[in-house]
Amino acid sequence: MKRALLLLPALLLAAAPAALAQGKSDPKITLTWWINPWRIAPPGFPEGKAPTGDEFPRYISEQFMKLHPNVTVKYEVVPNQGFREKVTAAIFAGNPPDVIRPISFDPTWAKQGLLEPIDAYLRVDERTDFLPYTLEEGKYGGKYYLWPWNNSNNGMGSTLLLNPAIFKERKVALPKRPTRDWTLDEFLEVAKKLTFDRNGDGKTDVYAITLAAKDTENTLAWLHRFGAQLVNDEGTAFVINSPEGVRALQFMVDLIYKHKVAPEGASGLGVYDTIDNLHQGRAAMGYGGIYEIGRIDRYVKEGKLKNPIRVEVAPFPHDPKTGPVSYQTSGGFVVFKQKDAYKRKMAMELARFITSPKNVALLEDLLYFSARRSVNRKMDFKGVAEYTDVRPQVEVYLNALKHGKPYFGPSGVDVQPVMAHFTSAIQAALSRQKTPKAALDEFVATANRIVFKK
Amino acid sequence: MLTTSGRVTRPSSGGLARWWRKNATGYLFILPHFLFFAVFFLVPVLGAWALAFTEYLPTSVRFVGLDNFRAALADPLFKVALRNTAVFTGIVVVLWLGKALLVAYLLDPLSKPMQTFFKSAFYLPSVTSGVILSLVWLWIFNPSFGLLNAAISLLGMKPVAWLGETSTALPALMAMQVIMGGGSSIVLLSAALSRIPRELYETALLDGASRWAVFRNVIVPLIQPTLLYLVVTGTINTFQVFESVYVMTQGGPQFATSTVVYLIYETAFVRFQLGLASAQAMILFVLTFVMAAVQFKWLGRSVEY
Repeated sequence: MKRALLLLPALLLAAAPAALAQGKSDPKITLTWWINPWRIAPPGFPEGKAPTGDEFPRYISEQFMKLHPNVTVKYEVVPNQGFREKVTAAIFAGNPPDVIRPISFDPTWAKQGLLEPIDAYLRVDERTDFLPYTLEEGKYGGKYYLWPWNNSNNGMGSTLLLNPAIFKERKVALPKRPTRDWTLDEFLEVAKKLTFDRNGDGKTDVYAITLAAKDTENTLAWLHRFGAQLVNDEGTAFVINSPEGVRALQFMVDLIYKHKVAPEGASGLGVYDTIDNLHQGRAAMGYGGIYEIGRIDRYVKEGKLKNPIRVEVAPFPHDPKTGPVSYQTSGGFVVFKQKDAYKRKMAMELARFITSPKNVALLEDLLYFSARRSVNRKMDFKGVAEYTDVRPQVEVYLNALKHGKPYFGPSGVDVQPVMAHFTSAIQAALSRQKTPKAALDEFVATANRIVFKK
Repeated sequence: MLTTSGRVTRPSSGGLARWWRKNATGYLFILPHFLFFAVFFLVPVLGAWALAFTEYLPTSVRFVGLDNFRAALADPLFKVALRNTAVFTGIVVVLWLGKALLVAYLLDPLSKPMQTFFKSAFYLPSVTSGVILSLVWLWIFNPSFGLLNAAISLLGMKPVAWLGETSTALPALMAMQVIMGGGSSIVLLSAALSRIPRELYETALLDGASRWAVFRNVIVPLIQPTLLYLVVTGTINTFQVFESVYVMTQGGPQFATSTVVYLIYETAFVRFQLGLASAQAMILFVLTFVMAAVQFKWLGRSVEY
C-alpha cells in the first residue's frame, strides 16, 4: 500500500509532460454524432433491465473522451421516425453532425460532396477484417465513405420466422436443420396447412403469412425468389419487370387470392402489420432474423406482448432453378465534410473507435452480426441462451446470409426517389387493380425516366 | 388617429409627432407580435419564394428562372396531388361545417353545464396530437383485425381494405377528418348562436314558420360572418392536410391519397429538391389565396357585420 502511495506521485509526474504536451499540441474541439436508437447494453449495464438506446452512444462518447481529453463528444439519439427529415434539414442548414450512422447509406450525400472519403484513413488490417461487401455498401465514385459496423439488418428480406407452436398444432414439420432450406413448392404445401379456422366459425383465424405492399425489403425478397432484380448489375436501368419479376409478383398475388394463405388487404399493410400478426399468433410465419428473438423478449419485458412466442429462423423458400437468395445489407458511420484538418482526423478517429473490434462486438448483445470477420468468429450469443437455443438459429441465419444480394442494386444508384412508385406498383398488383406485368412495366418506365433520365 | 368609426387614419404631415405620441403605446404593444410574425412567417415565406427560382443544393445555389414551376406543373404526380387535395378539401369542409352546425344547433337549447360538457367532448380531439389520432385510426381501419371490419362483419359484410384500396383510401381519410374535426367550429358556432336574440325565433314560430324555415331564414343569415370565417380558415387548413397522410398511407395506395403538402415534403426531404418543393409550395399558396379571395367575394356578399 505504501509502495503504491509512493508510486502514485511518480506516475502523475511522469504523465504530466505527456498530458501537457497533448494539451499544447491538440486543440480543444467538439465532435457531434447522431445515431438512431440501438438498444445495446454497454459493459456494466444492469442485468434484467432493457436499454433505451441512450446507453450505447453515451458509453462510446465517454470512452472516446477518456482517450482524447481535448475532445468533447456530444451524441444525439434521433428517432427512426423523421430521421431522414432531420438530417436533410441539418444538411441544408449547413450544420450536419460530424459523424452519423445513416439508416441507410445515401449515395446522393457523396455525390453532392457532403461526405469525407475514408480511404486515406482505412488501415490495411481494417480493410481485410471488414467483410468486403460491407465496405462496398458505402462506395461511390470509386471511393469508400462508410465505416462498416453492422452486418445485415434485423433480417428483414433475409429470413423468415416460424412459429413452431402453430406448426405443431397443425402437425406440420419445420424445414430441416442445419440450413432449414425449402423450396417454394414445399413452402406452399406447408402454408396451406397452416392457414385455418381455429374456432370453427367458418372464418380464417390464422394465416400462413402476411404480405404487405408497404414492406419494401420483404416484398423485394419475394421478387428475388425467381431471380428478379430491381436494378441491373451495371446500375444503368431498372429491370424488375423481367419475366422472373412478373412470375414472382404473380406468385405473391396467388398466395392471397388463389391459395388464400395470406390475408387480403396487403396493399394497405406495412412491415409492422406483418410483425404484429406473427406476435399475436394470427400468422404462422413472419419476417426477421435472430434479432427478432431479442425484440420479442424486449416486448415481453416492456409489457407490449402478453405471451412470448418462440420463433425459429428459416430462410425464404427458393426456386430450385434460382437457388437460395437473401438480402445483403450493412450499416455504418459516415463523416460529414470538415473544414478543419484536425477535426476531420478526430471525426475519423471517432468513427474508427465506434467500429473498432472491441466496440463492434457489443452488437452481439442485440443479436446482430458485425461487419468484422474477427469479431463474428467469437460471437456466441450467450446473453439469450436461457431464452432460446440460439446457436443453431445463428447457423441457419448465417447460412441464409451466405446467399446475400444487394436488393436495391449497386450502392451508387439512388433508388430512394422512386420507391414510392415501386410501392404503388406492388399495391396495384396485390389489390388486383393491375396485372403484375402491367404494374411492373409502369414502374420500370417511370423509374428509368426519373433516375436514369431514359 | 382614431376616427369615430374606430379606424386609424394617416396623420397630416405636420401632425406626425403628435400622431406618434398618441398612438405609440398601441404600436409598441403590437410590435413583439409583429416582429415574431416577420421573423418566423414573413421572412421564411419570402425565402421560399426566392428558393423556388433556384436549384438549391447543399453545396451550391443556381438561379433557374421558372424551370421549377414548369417542372411542377408538368409533373403528373403534382396533378394527382392537386386533384386529391381539391376533392379532400371540397368534401371535408362541407361535411365538417355541416356537422359543426348541426351539433351547435342541437346544443343551443341545452343548459349551460350540459353545453359545456358536450363542447369539451367535441373539442377534445382538437387538442390531441394528430399523429396519435392517426395511429388509433390505423388500427380502426386495419383490414384483417380492425374495429371497423369487426363491426361490419357483424352485419354479414366482407372485410374491406380501407386504406389499401384506391376507391376507399381517400374517403377513409376524409371520414376520419370529419369525425375527429370540427371541435373549434362547434365552439365558435355555439357562441354565434347564443348571440341571436330568442325573440327572433319565438316571433317567427308564432308567425307559423316551421323550424327548418327558422333555421334557414333566421339563424343561418345571422351567423353568416362566423360561417364565412370557418369556410375560409377550414379551406386553408384542409388544403394543407399532411399528418394523417404521412402516418396512415404515405400517399398510397397508388398515390390515391397523395396530397400537395405530402408531395412537397417528399420532394424536399426524400428527393432533396428544395427548389422544386418551394415552387410546389408557392403554387399551393397562390391557389389557396385565390380560393380564399373567391370565397370572400361570393360568400361575403350577403354578410352583415
